[in-house]
Amino acid sequence: MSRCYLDTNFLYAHLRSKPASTPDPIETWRRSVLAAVASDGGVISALVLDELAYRLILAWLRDDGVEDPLSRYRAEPQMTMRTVARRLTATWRAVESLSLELCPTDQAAVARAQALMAKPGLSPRDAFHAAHALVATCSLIASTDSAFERVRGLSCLAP
Amino acid sequence: MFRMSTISWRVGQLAAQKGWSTRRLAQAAGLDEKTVRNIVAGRATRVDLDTIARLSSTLDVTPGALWTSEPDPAHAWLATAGAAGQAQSGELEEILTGGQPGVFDTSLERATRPL
Repeated sequence: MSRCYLDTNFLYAHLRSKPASTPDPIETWRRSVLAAVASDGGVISALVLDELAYRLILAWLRDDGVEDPLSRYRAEPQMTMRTVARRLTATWRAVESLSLELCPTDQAAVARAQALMAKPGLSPRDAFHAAHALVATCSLIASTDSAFERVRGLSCLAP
Repeated sequence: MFRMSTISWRVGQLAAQKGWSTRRLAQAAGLDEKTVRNIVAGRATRVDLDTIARLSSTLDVTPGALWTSEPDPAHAWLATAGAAGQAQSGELEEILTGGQPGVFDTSLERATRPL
């Protein structure tokens, strides 16, 4: 059994790229992750959804021609959210259709994250992602972040 | 919300609940045994309405109970690829190299946001 935690950058890449007829690095990564997810399911956390929304909002602002998306987002957060509302709703529906398991951020996940910050010294965000993966009994994490290689019990499914 | 599903026959399961073999079911329904065997094995893709009516009547269920549908993850993944738009040139390459397009550390962004 090899359950797989999907880090934000995998879902982001999946949602921002159509399937390629000729396997490029993203398509090859997607196929290898989907093969892992097909057998034992995929796991995410609220952190993934938070980061995914944030990254997509900035991407959509860039798509709309905004040169400095972060400044625009900070200056006009309510207007920005109204602008992207439909796209965000459609994205939530897409993610929901994947039937991923949402690992709760409970006391066990917080305690595990605290321990991972101390050793092997992960950054807070990475520690919380790794903690959710471990609490959800995942042995794989689909991510481009090599920091997860330092976590005992987790193998990185990288491009 | 619409989800792609895999539809599969429940005829074998329903027959088993009655303790019937494929042959017994075929005889009771007045159907060719090979036809019933193909349905039970999931090989039948084109089944006429008369056959469906006979099976449902014989098994004492509504026609709809002859099938089950389950969400198909493979279809869902295919359908959602690119659902958030097409990445711009260089956007995904940054992810592949471990970077992120733009400022993507949400905790850092929030922590350093002006009060």
